[in-house]
Amino acid sequence: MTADRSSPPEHSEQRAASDIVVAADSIAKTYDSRLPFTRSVEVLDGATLEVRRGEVVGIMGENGSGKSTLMQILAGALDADAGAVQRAGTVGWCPQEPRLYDRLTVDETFRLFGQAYGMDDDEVREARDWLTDVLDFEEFADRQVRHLSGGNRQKLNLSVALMHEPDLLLLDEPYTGFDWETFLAFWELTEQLRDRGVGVAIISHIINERDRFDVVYELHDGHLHRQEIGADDEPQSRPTEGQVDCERTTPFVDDDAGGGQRATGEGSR
Amino acid sequence: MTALGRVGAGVRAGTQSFVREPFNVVLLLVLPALSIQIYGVSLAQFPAVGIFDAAGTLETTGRITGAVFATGALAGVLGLFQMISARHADRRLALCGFPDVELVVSRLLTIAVVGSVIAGVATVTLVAILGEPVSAAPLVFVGLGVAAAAYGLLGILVGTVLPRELEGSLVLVILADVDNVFASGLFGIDESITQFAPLSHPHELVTAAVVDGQLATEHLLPAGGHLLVFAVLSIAAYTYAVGGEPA
Repeated sequence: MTADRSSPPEHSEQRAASDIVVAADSIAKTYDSRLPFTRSVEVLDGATLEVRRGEVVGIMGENGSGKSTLMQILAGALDADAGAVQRAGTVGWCPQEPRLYDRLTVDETFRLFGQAYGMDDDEVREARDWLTDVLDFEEFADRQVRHLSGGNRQKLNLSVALMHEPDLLLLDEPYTGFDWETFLAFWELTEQLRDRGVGVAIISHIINERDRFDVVYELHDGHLHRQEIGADDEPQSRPTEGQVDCERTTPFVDDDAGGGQRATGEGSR
Repeated sequence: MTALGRVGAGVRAGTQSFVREPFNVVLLLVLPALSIQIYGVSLAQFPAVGIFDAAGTLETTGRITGAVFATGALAGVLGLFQMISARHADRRLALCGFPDVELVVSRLLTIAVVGSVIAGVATVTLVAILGEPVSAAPLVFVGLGVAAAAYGLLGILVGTVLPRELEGSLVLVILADVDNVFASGLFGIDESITQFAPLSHPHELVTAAVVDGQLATEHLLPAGGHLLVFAVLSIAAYTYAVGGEPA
């Protein structure tokens, strides 16, 4: 996002800061071994990133590099050992493995998670109709989750993250199992969300997708290396270092911070 | 959406998850009858020569013991499966904004609702199979309900420590079986030991209801103590699994 050239510098900085929907600063995470003769695994070491409104950010890295761990920390599902995460606005988190109730139907899943988000019946119905239409799985509304194919289960997994129209979307390999049509529909939907000002962070393994992102972070040896797509040719070592002033996340963003919006939904813990 | 609405939705989801598993329904209908019959017939084979210390006939005591075992084992498996199938989804639901307290309450109420159904089926089956009039069937239901609640909570505990369906079920069934041996009172084991067996007080409640038609009030308080301890431990375990454990 670029600053408004006509604004005074301090206003531009404030506006730029208010554009940030999630900022992680110097995140460290080690999985300690609870058993003797097994070693602890250091996954993240000073990882720093930010996602702005209307920005689609890719997070890439080798298997086991800690991408999902980082995503869980950003979503609030996992605590970091050190560092700070600050979120502004509502968050939608699509975990890599669908965390859904196997014996509930698609409809029941929408209703239950809609209640968690504080949505009323009409809002849930609208969200369900919209997402099942866009992702093309409306004919499975009465089917239990355990009887869905892997692709359709993933569509529901993604829909649960999207249904409350969050300000920030955290997607951990969201299109696993998607057919080509759904894959394209997903990116079309992502473009619409970008246009609406939603910040989107996506973990991806597909190198060919780099051009779809505004920014790519590569996770290597616990560090994030930022690359502006189309702007910089080479990854920067710690480009966000010193640019983001973060504090340890509290359950809710201060009312006078960012957009002054109380964070609800995923990431509100 | 009110807290009551959310808790209701949570209980409905948990109950549907149990009922929609055909194996659960089959077990619910078959295990009490099978267990009551096997325990009754087995004990009836022994001559009444003072080996066993029973309040009623050996066959009656056996059938009561079978009903208590079936109720405990079924409720334990319910608690276990609740924990295994829901821990990750519950965690996501909590992150989505479903209040932690309401989530815990809905899980406990699910145990209470389905446990009551299990106790009800076991009561009806016991009354039908017993072969002699049951003095106070509603009190039998109370005793079996306490057994269901205790083992439902134990199932949550086991599910936290051992979140695997086969291994967890085996642990609970073996636990219920050993517990039942202590609880049956057949072997004259010192009460200072048997009183700590979770099924001992429910067993006494059911026996008093069947044989004497009375509420064994002296067993209500210790049974409540067991439930309280198990409730505290299971809530702590659930909170750890859903909120504190690495994902």
